[in-house]
Amino acid sequence: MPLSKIQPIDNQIIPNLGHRNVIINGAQNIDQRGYGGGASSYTIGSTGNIYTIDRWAAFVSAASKIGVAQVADAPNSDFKYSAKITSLAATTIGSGDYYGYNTALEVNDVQHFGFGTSSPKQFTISFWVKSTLTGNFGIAVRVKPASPARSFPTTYTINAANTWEYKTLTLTAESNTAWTAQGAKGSGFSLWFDLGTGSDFHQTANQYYAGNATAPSGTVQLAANNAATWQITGVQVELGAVATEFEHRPAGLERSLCERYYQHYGTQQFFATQYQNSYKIAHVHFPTRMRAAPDLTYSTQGGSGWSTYNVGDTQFKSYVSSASSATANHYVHTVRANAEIDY
Amino acid sequence: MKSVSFKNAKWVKEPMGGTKYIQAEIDSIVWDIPMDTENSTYVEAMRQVDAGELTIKDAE
Repeated sequence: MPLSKIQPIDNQIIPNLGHRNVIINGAQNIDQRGYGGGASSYTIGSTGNIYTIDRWAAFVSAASKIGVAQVADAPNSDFKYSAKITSLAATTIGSGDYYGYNTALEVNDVQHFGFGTSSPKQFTISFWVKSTLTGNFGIAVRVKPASPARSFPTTYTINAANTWEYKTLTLTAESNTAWTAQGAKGSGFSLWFDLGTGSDFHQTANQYYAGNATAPSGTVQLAANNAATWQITGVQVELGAVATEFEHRPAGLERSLCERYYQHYGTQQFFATQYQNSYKIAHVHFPTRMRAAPDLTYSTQGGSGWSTYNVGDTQFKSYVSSASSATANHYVHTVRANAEIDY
Repeated sequence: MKSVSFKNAKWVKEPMGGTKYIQAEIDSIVWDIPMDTENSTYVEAMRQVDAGELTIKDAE
């Protein structure tokens, strides 16, 4: 960063020059799940917190209502990609319905914001956004709504349709300990961009609320407008009251940060070796230690009835019944490991 | 908000070491979910079981 861009933050003698941004993949560059395959939209075909572009999830109460894509459309040459959400129908949004684009951070990574302490600090959210719709859009900071839950709904305004706009919001953390209750690796901070939610999730803007609020009432409901689109990139959340220039991290570092939560190995083969006289076992090591022992899905070659074994945050094994005299290739391939935060 | 939608959830007991895990369909993909209290999917499955929203079939 050039010296002219260094700004004082909370009177620190040495400003935060690097690793300011606690958001991972805020520029929407890393896409292990394949939402950048060239289609204008990939339909979210299930309900729940469906992870799409790395670290970002479409959180939906009904399937096939919105689509997500990583598209090569960005506000300026500093960025290559944005996430594009497309409404696939004029959905009637009931009181308990929800549609949002969400990323969740570990308590580990936002400890320094002072949530749950006697010294909560200011932090600033900044991002680039573009939509076919204009008006006040909902945005919220939330923590996992197992009891206790907390949230802070607020708004930002899109003034012109189909035009990239830069937005900043400065909030102050709060002392309520719900924000750290999930443990160091648990959900400590979720950033929700509201795409249409029902009245069950609406609360007064700009104040903390004991519950799960995603927006104030009266905000734009993207999911209720067929073919409406909303795009975002350059998302940054940092300590202090100043929105600094987006922190572009090296591609390898950003990828590793994403791999803490999700890893996908397409056709790579992890060959099995003989184990005891009657099994063949494949051992898969993760290049990045994951947040937790991950959910696994994978395919196999050779034999049938493979069993997952001894899953940890650095590796797992899979084995199949097979005599040492069986010489056909046995291997695991197309591994996906998921240790995302669920809120 | 239900953050994970499970289908055909069942316990699996692997034959060699006796460890158990959940196998379930999430977003049209069958996943093996380890019994790890830091694994969000496992925690959510247990929450849904406790809330009566999910039944996990016993191991065969």
